[in-house]
Amino acid sequence: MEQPSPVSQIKLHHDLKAIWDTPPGWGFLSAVNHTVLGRRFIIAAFTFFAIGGVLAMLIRAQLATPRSAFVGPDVYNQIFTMHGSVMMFLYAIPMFEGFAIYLLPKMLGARDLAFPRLTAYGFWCYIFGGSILIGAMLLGVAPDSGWFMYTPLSSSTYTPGINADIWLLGITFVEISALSAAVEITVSILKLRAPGMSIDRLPIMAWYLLVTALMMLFGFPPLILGSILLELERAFDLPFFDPTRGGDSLLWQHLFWLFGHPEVYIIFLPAAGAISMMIPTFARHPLVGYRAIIAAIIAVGFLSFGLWVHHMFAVGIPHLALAFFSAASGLVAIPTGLQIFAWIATLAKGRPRFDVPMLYLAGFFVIFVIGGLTGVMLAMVPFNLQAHDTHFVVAHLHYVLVGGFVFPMLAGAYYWLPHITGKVSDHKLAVPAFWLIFIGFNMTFFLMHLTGLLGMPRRIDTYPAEAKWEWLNLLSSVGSFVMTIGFALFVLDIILQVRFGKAFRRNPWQARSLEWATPTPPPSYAFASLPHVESPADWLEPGSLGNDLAAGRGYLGFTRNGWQETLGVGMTDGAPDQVVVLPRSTTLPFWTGLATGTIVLCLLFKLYWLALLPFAVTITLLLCWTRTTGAQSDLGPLPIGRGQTALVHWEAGQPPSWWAMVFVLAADATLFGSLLFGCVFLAMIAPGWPPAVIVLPSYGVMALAAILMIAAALFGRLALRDLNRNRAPTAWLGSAALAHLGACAALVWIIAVDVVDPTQHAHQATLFALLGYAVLHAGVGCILALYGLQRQRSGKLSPIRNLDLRIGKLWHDYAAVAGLVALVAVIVLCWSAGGRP
Amino acid sequence: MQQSASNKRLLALAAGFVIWSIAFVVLYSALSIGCRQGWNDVHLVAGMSLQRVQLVGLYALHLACGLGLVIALRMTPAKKEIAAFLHAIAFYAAIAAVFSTAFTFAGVLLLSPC
Repeated sequence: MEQPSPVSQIKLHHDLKAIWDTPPGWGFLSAVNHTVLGRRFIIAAFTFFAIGGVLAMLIRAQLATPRSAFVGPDVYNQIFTMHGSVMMFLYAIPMFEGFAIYLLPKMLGARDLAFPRLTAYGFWCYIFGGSILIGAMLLGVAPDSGWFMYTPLSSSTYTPGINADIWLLGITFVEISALSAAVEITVSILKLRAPGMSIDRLPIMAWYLLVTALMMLFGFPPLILGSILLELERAFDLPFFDPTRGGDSLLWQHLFWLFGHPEVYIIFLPAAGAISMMIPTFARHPLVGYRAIIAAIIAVGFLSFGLWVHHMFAVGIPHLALAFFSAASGLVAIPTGLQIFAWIATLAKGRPRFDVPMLYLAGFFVIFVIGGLTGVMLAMVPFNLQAHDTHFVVAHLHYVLVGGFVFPMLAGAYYWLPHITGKVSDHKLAVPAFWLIFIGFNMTFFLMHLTGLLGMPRRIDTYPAEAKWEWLNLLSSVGSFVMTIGFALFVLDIILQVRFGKAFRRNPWQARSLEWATPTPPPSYAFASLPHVESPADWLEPGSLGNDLAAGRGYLGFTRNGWQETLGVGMTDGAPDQVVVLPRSTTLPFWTGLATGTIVLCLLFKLYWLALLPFAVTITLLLCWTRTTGAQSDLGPLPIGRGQTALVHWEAGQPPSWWAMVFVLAADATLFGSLLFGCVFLAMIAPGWPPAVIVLPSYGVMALAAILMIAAALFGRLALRDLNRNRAPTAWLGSAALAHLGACAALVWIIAVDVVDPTQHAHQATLFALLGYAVLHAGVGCILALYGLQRQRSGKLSPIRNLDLRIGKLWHDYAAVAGLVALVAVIVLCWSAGGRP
Repeated sequence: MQQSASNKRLLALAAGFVIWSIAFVVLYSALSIGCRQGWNDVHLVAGMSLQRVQLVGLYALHLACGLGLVIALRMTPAKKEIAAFLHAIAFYAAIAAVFSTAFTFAGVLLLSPC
């Protein structure tokens, strides 16, 4: 196939800009570009950080003196709950997402992430969800049960208003954004890289982000499930957490901390990735121990899931189990320590030069190591029981999170801001800002170790003067104001750099990674042509490489059909195997996010039937996303430059969307696994079992539901087989849709006739949840089968263009397996409760 | 075909710690079920309770699986550049996972189970 003729550098720039740029004016709502959305995520996250910071100041003002009447206990409860929630859910995770969205494609040598509209949808979900939380706070109805929302305090008996609902619905809404980002990051790292960037040449940041994104896929579903169950309890009185009706408050703690502890590492690992990119630059030496660090990241990723009960040492769990969690908690320090030693070794082996980012990294080393050491102290059960729920824990978590995330992010801000703005700072404010933050931070939080050891509990709004915590608290509050002045200086410095900074040549730090091969500030298309990577991607020559790429002397150094193109590669060998055509600017993600937000608001105000309307709108809008994808004829191999060809992604074997469905189903299976765990936990551990009324399920209807679910999966496979044989799959797709619909009806019948009243006891409630899960999946399966029919009618399917049916097959298969497991679980739960036929 | 083999090696990176995770779930579940069912009061041989015997058995089984993986990786070195890279990391991770399994669950040998 003939390769496109080369064009001039200027013409290529203008051609690419015309395709990739976001429209001006109201067109800002249609942005799907990673550079634009990455910047927006970062700005929004910093805004929420400022809000969380103001709340922290209010907390410190309240605690500065004993018997303070600054704010009352009700307002104080809202303040500390919102401080934790904002910092964790609206600052830390979105900040990392924004950082990854902006930098990752450039580090990988791609023009964008795999699913730009999903990036935009995630952004709008984040903004709308965050706005709901902040709006509630301004109206005085913010969540007030602590950022971990322990039941029964957060149950409707003790928190009757909408405060807790705002947290449960608002945070779940934001979690959609996080899961979208996790899928996007995972698939992008595995599939969207520059040709030649084999798995052993990945920049270390990509390994960190890959493990982090996978942790999010497996860590967030338990929290989402917990939030759904608690909202079902609050809204419809299903007693999952009510011990008087077979529920158990501890189930919430398990589900929350199954997410909550990995969350700490989800926050730390991206920051560690940033450190691993910055230190080699300033050490002028490649990172020492690349392979060992990857093994350490994998170890941290797994071990962090085995620590969750160290937040629950005091709740009465068998001692041997405490030993498991205590050992794992201590163990995780080893791979974390390995990374720290690798960074020190890199500095020791190189010729380090000191600059502002290194100053902030020095702060990180000091603070994070102290946080890590107190973490090992708290991992030991006897000490933990002494320090439990005291300010010692508050001090520890701030040393870990501020040391492990905020300081590296500040370093990263100074390091990558020249990339974002194309300007450099004279750094006159960066140094005093650092010292104010560093001194203020230690003054605030080191003293909390002491107040904690003196017995000061967390979350108290006031304390008596006789407690002897007075001067320590006062100094702590003074320190927090010093730290705030430091952050204000940092913000001022950033504003000055953006507004008045000197324009600078590319790559002011002489970094060796690929993101510095783009022009600065980067154009919307990132690279005018894509590089061929022949050595480790974080030890390249970005200067000369950047000039070659700008001149179009790489892959895809041309435009075609007005398409936004980048390349997909083999996961391990990095050989180009597909041209990925990305969607152009559209407002659909904005409207879909708005419709999703309307569902949340309807649920919040208990307008449950009305919520069905925005739900239908959301589904319709999501289906509208597919109108511009695919083609009505087979294209075959397309030229990609450098004398090579590749198939367009919808004709390729395993394109990004296929992998996305695999990872979505992995997250879905984790949620289902958590639900099964919850059901078994309640049946075995919770008080009030066996229930007074035991459900006797209709085995005939269950068998019918099982047959229909299996049939739907089979019909989905037969539709694909017929399509591959160039026969119309219409009949099989129609049958699959009907089978799913029939399965839905049978399952709903079981809920209505057998379960009857899920509010009576957790036994019925768990059966309701399991069957509801199966109904939901059969329902989505029906929509996907109908979507396949629509694609067939619009001529977008062929034996080569069969991607839609292959994605559908994954769902139909999963729905059948999960549905069958749910039915078996229902039978086992009924039998174990004494309901044998 | 080569790509598919490499993808399997990619999965092998997690194999060691998947065994550790399974050990965690199995041992924690077995411990909870055993305590609930009173297996600690059922005495078997040499003064050991049913609870201790099943926990030690499961501990040994998972240690053996982890060690088996380490030996299997040791005996199947990869020659090509990318495969060798993935193999080395899988090997390091598997060793770390065996150590983690031995350390995390060593309490089943000595501590009171319930």
